[in-house]
Amino acid sequence: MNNGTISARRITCSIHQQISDQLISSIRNMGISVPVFIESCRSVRQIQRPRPMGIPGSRLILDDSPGSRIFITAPDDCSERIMHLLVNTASLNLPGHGSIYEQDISIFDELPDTAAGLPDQQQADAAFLKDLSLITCIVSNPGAGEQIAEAALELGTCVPTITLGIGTGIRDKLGLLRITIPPEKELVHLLVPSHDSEGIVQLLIEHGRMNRPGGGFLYCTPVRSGIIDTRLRIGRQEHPASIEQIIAAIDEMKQGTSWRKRFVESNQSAAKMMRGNTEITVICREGYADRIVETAMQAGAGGATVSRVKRIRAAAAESAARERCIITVPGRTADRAVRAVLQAKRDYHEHVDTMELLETPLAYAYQS
Amino acid sequence: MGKSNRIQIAPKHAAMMIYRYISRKLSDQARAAGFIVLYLFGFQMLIIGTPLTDTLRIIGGVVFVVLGLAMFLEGLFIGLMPLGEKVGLQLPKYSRIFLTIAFGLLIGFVSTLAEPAVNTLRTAGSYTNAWEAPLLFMLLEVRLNLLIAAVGIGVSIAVSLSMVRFFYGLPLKPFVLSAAPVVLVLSLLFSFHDNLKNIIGLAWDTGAVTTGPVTVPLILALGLGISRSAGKQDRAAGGFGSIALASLFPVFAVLLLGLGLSSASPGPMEEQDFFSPRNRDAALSVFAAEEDLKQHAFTHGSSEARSAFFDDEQAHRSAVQSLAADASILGVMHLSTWINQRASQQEKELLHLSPGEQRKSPLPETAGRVLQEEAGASLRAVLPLTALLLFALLVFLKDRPKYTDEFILGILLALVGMTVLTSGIRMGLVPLGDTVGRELPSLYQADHHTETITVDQFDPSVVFETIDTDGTIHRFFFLEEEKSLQAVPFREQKFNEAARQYTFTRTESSRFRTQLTGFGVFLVLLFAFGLGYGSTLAEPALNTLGTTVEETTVGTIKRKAVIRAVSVGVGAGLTAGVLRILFAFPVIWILIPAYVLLLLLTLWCSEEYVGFSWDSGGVTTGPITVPLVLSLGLGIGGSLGTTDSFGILALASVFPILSVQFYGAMVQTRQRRRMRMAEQEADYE
Repeated sequence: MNNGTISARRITCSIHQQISDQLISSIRNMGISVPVFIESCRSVRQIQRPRPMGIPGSRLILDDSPGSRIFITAPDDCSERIMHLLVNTASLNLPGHGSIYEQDISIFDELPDTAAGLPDQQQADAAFLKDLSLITCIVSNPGAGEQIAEAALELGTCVPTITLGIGTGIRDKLGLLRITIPPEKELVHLLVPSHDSEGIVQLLIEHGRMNRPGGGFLYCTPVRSGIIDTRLRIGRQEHPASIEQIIAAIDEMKQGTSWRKRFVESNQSAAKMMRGNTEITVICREGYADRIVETAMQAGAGGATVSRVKRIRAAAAESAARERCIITVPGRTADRAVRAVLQAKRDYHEHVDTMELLETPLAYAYQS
Repeated sequence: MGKSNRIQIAPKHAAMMIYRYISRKLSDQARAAGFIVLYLFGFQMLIIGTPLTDTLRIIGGVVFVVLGLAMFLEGLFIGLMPLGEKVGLQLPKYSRIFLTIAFGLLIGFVSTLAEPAVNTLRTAGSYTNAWEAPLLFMLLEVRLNLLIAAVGIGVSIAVSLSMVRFFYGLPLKPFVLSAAPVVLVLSLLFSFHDNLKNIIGLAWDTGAVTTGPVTVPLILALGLGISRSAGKQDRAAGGFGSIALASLFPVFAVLLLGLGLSSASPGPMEEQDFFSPRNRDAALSVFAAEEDLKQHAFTHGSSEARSAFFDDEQAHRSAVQSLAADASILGVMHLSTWINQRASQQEKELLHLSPGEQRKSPLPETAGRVLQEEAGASLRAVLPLTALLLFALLVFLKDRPKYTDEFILGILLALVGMTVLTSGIRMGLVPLGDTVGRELPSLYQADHHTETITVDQFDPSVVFETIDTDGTIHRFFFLEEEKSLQAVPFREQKFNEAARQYTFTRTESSRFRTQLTGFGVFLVLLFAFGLGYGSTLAEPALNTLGTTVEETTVGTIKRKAVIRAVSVGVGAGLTAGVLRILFAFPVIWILIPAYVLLLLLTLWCSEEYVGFSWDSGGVTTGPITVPLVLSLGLGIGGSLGTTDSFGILALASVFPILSVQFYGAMVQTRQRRRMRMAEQEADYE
């Protein structure tokens, strides 16, 4: 789409809080010279509890556990090695530890050579699944993130990961009236089999009430390969293996998820999708996100979500605080917006860590 | 964003958006304040059963409370907290560490001056008798400025130390684990000294009340900003703990000040000795003027104190008689209250009043005056701190608030909201709390008139002599009554030698203890718990803390859970405080075990829970809790004639730390267990 872009991969890893410290310290020691960022997240699982006061049966409640999401922008040639390293360090083959995936992206700056610094090639003792997609839902109504997470858990897709962000978009064009719209957004990240993704998207739109004004925004991006956390449910188990364990075992044998293609039926007429969008991600120093987002908005971007992240291995003297802007632009204005953001990146070049483009085949937002 | 980019919203839609926004905010706060209002009304109607006076005014006050809470909170969220955070984010970028320290010192001192909790402390000490706790009295009366300065220094050091902590990303644990034991040990040592032991309650209460509803969110936001921007650690947790230190350090400062002043203050002594002209010089070191000493003799002392003060019976009599015409010597106390509570039979006769006669109670202050006064207090609380931060941001850090219009609206909302809130509390909640607090003792106390006992045919040969460690000789005799012996101090002037009669008044507290009924005490404790729980639910500073916790933990710890845990803690603290007043044991008996437990938990808990648990202790005692707690404490304390109502606030701020930390420990173990469960299952594969 753009000349001058370099292809690279983005590795995203969501892990439980208790192993994140260990993983981060090994990342520090690993000699990875590409940028590594981290943000706090929570993952939602179902937990089976006996009913109170001895009433027979059990009920399912949602349980939040703290965690961290780590992103690494890696060159094509050593992305896989980094993935294997992370999987082995954090034992991501064990359900409950977390998930990891890599996506194809386009970047604008040459990445430093990483391959030399990495330890020898290790084979991860887990099988990576191929045909996956990432669904990202950005919702603002209180409790909407929880509803989407619950819907995803009921569909048995994956362990939803939730992060926080601040939305800018229509809100900034309202003048002082903006205070009536809360800017806080919840971002729900779901890893789903790609052949089911469209059906799951339809269900999420319905469950998360996204087909209403102010309901939020949702988009789906391709994943090259990854490992899904299959520990969807904690608690007493009545069979020798849980259904998630069986599915995971078959996934591993089949090296993919296509064997479990299913038909996800929605009660309502299908929502109209937007196709051919582009996700622009810019990670910059604290305080510069607003300016970059403003430039993108003037160039036709619909809105942006800014999240707070930290850079691991920032230079000793400088602050580790970063802001990540996710800007989604429709296909027809993509070029203009990308050029504008690129210009902004050049203007503030010493404050911008990275700018990445990611194809977004499927997106949905309420349209009147 | 340029104006050209503005979307034009039809007025109808805009009105709809505003309506939804306002109704959402109001219903949130109505729910937050609902519990305490319904609870007070319920207690009043079901248990106490006296009719409410001024119902309309109280309902108006309650409406004000809800309105004020909604506005004040919104003002904090869109005006003050973004400002604090912005300054915090920029500060480490542009300034070096010593500038940050200086800024912390300044913020700490300005915040103490802006929200002086001194009135609260004076109210808490209004039942204190100068002869029993002269040092305490000295601090609250003559050395008030020193007290404020000590508190200010304590807060400043705490704030700037916290800034340094955030700057270098240091954990909170070592700080509290070393500061708290020092303060505790010092308090323990003080408790063995007759005069110093009285200021322990004051010192701990000072720690609890200094951090007001404007300071807390600002310092919280500032800390979050600094720790985010400078934080070298990778995890986002951090930014908590400054409130905790800002409540611990003033305790230390006040204790030290007390130690320094203790040599200048007379020791505790008997009422008559204190007021006697021989002791005048020493007594005047505690009071600003002789007039104040006289007032104290009237408002706090018994008739013996007054006769000691005047030395000559004629002057005493004429002073009492002049009360009927001019009661200004009583200060804020009403003549009718004085007659009922303080005057002896003879004094009542001097005033030519029949013993039971009541004077009309004063008219309540007008709403206009309350609003005016509270507006002044709000201006003082909000403006200096905001101005300081804004100045730092504009001049030193060369930045400005993200949205100027939003910022100005936020400050205005905070100002108006705080005015409306505190006026509502004064007009609605406090009178309601006072009514219940005043009537509460009747639940467990049948009759609390002072009793004058006359012993006929008194034989002076039954009087014994004792000696205390200072070598002073005291005289007393035993009185046998209903087969129990009671030691009664003997005073020459009460002995009428001609009639061989000895007349003395018996203090109430000794009578009262036999009348503590189990059910009555239970009701009072229940009331205390509910009052603490309910008033904390509505506390605005706690709301901001909860929101901050929810944001930094990405929702793993919910705002509501934090608020509930803190409220339960305050409820438990109040219950403990009331127990202390009822059974008259020193605060330190509860403080020490509570803190020991707390320190053990702190050692065990992970850092991220430690920070906000300790902070929750400081935020609990805000504009809603404090007046209600005081009316409860004074209601019970006043009826029992105890030395002071101090310590309740301190307990109300220790227990929430404990309860939040318990909650944190629970969450932590649960998470560890679930993680283990998940891993164990995986091992079978």
